Amino acid sequence: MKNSAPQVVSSHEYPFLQGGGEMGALIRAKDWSNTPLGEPGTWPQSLCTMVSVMLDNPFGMYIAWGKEYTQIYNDGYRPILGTTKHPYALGISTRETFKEIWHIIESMFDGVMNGKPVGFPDFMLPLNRNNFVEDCYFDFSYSPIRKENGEVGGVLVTVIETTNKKRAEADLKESKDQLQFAIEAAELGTWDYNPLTNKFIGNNRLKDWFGLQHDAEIELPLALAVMAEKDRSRVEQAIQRALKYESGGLYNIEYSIINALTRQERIVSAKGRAWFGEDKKAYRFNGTLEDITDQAIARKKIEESEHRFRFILEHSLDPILILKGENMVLEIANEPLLKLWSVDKNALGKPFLEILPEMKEQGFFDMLQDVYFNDKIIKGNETPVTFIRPDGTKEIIYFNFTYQPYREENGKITGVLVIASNVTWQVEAKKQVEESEERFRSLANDMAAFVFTGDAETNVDFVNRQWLEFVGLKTEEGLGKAWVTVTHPDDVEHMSGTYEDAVSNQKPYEIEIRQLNTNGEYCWVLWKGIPRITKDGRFAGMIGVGIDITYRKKIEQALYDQQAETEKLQRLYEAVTANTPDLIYILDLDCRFTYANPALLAMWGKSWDEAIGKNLLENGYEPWHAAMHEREICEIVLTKKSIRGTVSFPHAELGKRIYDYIFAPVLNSEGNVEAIAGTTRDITDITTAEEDLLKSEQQMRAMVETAPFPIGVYIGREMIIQFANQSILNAWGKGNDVIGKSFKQILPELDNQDVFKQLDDVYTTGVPYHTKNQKIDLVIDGETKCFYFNYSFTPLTDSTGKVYGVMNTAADVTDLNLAKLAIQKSEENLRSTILQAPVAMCFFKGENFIVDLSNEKMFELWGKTANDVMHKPIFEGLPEAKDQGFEAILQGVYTTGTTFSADGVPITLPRNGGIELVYVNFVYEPYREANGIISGILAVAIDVTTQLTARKKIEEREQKFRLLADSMPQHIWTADTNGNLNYYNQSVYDYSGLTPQQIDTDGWIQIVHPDDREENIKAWIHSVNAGTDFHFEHRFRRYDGEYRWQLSRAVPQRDEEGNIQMWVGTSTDIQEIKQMDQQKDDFISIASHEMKTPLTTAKGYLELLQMQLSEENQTILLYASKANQALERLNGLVTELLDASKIQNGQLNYNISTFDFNAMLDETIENIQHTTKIHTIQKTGTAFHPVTGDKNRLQQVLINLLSNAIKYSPNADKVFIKVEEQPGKIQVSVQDFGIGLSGQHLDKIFNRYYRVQEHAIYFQGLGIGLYLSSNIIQRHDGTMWADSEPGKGSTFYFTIPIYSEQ
Amino acid sequence: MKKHILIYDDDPEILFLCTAILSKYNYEAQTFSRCDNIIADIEKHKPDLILMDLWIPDIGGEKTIAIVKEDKNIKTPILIFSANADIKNLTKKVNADGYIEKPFAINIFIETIQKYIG
Repeated sequence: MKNSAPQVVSSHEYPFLQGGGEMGALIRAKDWSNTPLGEPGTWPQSLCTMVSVMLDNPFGMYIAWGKEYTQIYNDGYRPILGTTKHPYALGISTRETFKEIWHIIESMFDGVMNGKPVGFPDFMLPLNRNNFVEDCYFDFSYSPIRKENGEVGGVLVTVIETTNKKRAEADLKESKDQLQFAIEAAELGTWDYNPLTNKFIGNNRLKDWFGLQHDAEIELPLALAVMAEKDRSRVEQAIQRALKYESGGLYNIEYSIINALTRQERIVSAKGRAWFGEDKKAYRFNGTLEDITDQAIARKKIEESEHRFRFILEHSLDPILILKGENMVLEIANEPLLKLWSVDKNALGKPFLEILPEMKEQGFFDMLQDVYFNDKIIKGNETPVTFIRPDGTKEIIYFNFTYQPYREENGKITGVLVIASNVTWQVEAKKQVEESEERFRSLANDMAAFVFTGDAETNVDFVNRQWLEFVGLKTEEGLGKAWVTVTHPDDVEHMSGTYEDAVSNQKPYEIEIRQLNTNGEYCWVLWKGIPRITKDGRFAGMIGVGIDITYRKKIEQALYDQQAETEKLQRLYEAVTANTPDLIYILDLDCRFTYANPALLAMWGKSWDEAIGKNLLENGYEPWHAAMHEREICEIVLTKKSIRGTVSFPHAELGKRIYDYIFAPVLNSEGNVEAIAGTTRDITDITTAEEDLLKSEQQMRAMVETAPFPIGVYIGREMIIQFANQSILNAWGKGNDVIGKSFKQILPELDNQDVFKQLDDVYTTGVPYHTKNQKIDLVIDGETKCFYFNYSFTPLTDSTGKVYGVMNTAADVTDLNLAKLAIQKSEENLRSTILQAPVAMCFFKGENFIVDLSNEKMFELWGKTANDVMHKPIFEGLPEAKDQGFEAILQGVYTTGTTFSADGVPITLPRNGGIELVYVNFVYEPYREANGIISGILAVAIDVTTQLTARKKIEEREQKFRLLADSMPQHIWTADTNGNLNYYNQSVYDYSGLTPQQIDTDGWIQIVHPDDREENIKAWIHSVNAGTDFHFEHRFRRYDGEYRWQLSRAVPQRDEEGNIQMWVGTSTDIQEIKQMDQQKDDFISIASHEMKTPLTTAKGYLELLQMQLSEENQTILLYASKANQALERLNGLVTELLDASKIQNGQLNYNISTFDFNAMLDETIENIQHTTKIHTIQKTGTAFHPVTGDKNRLQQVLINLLSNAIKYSPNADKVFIKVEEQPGKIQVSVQDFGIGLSGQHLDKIFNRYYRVQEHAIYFQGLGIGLYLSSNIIQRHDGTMWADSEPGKGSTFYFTIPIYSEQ
Repeated sequence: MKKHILIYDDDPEILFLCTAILSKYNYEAQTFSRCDNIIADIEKHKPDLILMDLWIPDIGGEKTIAIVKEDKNIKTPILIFSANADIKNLTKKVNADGYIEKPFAINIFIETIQKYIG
């Protein structure tokens, strides 16, 4: 990732993610970096291509990519994920999204990843996608998506959910069964009439009714002949009407049939429908027949009784009227009433106040309403009523009247029955009496009524002339108790009692009694009496008026009789309604039942008292049902029109039933709806049958509509589109408006594409036409697009076998073809890849491995030309490769589909005119067609002969090195650039007695002496890190446990660029050398010690001698002194020798302190200056900083350098010592002008015991001075070096670091 | 009374020389060529100062000094008397009271002794 700075490209910028509706948007919005797929920019090309194809595809497609099966899917697939899986499924693993079915599909997915596609129709999977598990059906295929290298990268799922189809199939079957069952259960007759043949077929039941043979096909006239004569022409007309296209084909009629054999009359209800062809001619007419004999008879009887009831009402003799509803609509009024009101029959149906608006202010309307609503009976007595006559005049008429509720047979009050009698004259008479008794008396005689007065007792004291004339008595005979003689014996007691009661209580009375008139007839006379109170308040007796009410009585009697008749009729009603299975009921406007017939009560399972007065809900209607009826009732009140409907609800005994109901308004006299009369018939069986029929047709239609493949039906030679499902509309890119247009009209672009001719041929010949993969150019949105279809034109024939149209079914295989093209293209890509590949590539086709395609590299590899091998089986074109095992490998790959790869395989191939062994890395990969079948092998090969040869050479070299190393007595080892030791020669194992495994496991350090390990590792790491030579002495444990000193050296091996490649190390056993060194040091140490002992003695005695001689002999003293000096020097030499050996052992001790370096310098110069008379030591410069170190040792260094300078410049007289401070250090140089040194010696002068040999004869000393000095300086972290020129002199330098105080 | 000095050295010549020098400077010296019985020697002679060679039979001067220094009853100063170049450090190491380096100048020898016992 060195060179590629991550490029940020947001998803929406990838061209292959364009489009795709909702899922396209979701995919673009998705942060893919957190998914196993990573950013879309990193997706493999094949995935990008597939996603792009998927997004544009209307069918459900789904990709599960990679080992994680990361999901991507399109809009078409979305519904399959239900409400719970989408959109979470995007970008996560199939395992998670479909965990409930993963155990089912896992093996299929894995199979696909191994290149095995799989597919099933109507495969059932129990999906949980809407929070419950449902059985879902799918047509699906899983196919592998191959990456550019041919590996399967993921699974492509194409799927059509067929759950609905499966359900519809099941439902259709069920509905057909149900239809059959319903027809049987409903005891329906069925018929199917063919208008072309004028014959019809019917089920056995229908034939039984008609008295026809079961297996007969029936001629229509024969059926008509069986019908009752009165109905025949009506039925015929209805049939003809239904067969006309304009009628819509519906047929619904009732008629009677008379069984030809039994003469049994049967009333039937026929329902049916005619079906029309494109020519608007009916080709089929079918339906059902229901036996409604019982219902029809019942209905007729009801109609008859109603008729009679009305007739009687209208012919009563007194003013009688019935006002209906709350608006008091005049429903019934007899002639006397119309006369009284000065109106004609047109007033019927009008509201009371519309006819007589003047009544409102007079309070009658309120009274009527009081009666109507409160179930009262109101009577009026001598009530004045003011009429305004048509000519504008007012007329006051007095009435006695009765307002009483008018009840329907169910007891509900639907109006008010009014009976009135005009008592105007009576009232007026009374008025006159009241005005003045005197005037009364005179007037009374002129009155039309009978008048009497009585005294305070019960005796009559006045009767008027009219009375006397009526009963045929003279004045005197009519007084006292004379009335008794003319009164009907049955009424006398009643009259006496009433009168005596009235007198004693001084209250008015009223009585109707029969009295004998002059003609000897008993007449009904109405007597009304009131107490006469004089002006002084005294009761004077009664005054009474009588009128002959015989006529009125007669009317009353008639009314009574008529009412009795009405009641009788109502009982009849009741009897009829009680026995009908229909439900009959009346609802008031509050939707309360005011009547319910026994059938309805039975249905509810309630008694009359329980049900009547209750509303719908209270009678167990479900809320929706009640609400529906309440709505309908409101509508009826508004429209005054009946409503018919069907409804399904549970019956108390029969369970769920379907009912046909009619609500009819009951209008009051004012034309307003005052109640709703309802009848309901159980039509469950009929309805179910009809519904099922409809449903099955709808389902079929829905199936066709929603079929995922295009279906169209074209009628007539013109190919008028009668039907086109959504799929075909989609294919055409058209809308629903194509229906009714001709095929040519909507798809003119097909003119040159043979389609019209194909259609025409099918229409003409009746031979179906099928074609596959037909390329069809369609103009979609004004743009010509190329499609591929598999399609069929199937002739549609009518019952006569005539072709009347063509059904077109098609499958859009454009995608398939595009996919094929894509495959073709990918094959082209493959070819171009092969040809341009930088490595040898070729394609072997078929089981004979014919070289179908190969690039130049491959020809080179084979050592052949294209002509030699192309289009030949490989082993024929390249016989040299035969029998080297490749046949079996190729065959294996071809049959198993498993990729084979191998590296460094030797093969002999033609080279340079001969046969040579070459080495190749190669891969054989099966090449699969889109259907997954292996059609060849893709071979990729690299000639690795050169590399392999080089490697072999390296290996050989290595081998040689090891051989050599193992034969060496020294320990030899190598390490990698990190310092890890990776090779030890045999000597290491021999010495240590360890096996290679032991060293590998526990490391080489185990060989090293524990005391040396820490230092050793530190030094090794330092060398490896710094890249400097490693040089270390340490002890190695031998196989016998003895530690022996080793000198280990390692040097880095560098390549041409100077990079360290490896380390090669040796460890040499220096135990013997070490021991010898030690022995020598021990020897020196002992020698020096032993030498010092006699030195001490000699020196002591010499000093004692000097002490003795000092006073006596100066000459001898001088000799002794010289001897003492010689002993001093000897002692110095012995000491130096000892020091040298101690350095070697690392034993030289230092006493570190901080001291004034410059002072030390001056002191030393002064001391040395004393030892020479010839040389002058000249110092320049000063050291200002103190130095931290061993003052004595550093002084020893200066003494050594200055002594040497003097010693080696015998002919000079000057020695320069220069001191200068440099950054962080002090540099001291000592310059002499002596013999000098040559370059070859300069390198060695700091070595131990080195002394410039050629000067040996001149100079004394063991030559260890410079070695010691150099060591001391090194121990002070300084450096020491020298410049010199032979014959000119030498300069020795050393530096000492200054440690700052901080 | 003369100061009493014990000298341990395996070389008789050194012992003789030292005895001669010390007597000249009016010290009394006892010499031993082995150091095996130093505690007994000290108890017997009650010296004012001890000079101890390092290379001396049987156990060597270093260990002998250690034995003496372990005995809390013995307060006698003890000096290393050796040709060893590292004598200064050894003095510290064995907790000796001082040292006299071989070979020595007589004046330094005497000055050193006087420094410890006056």
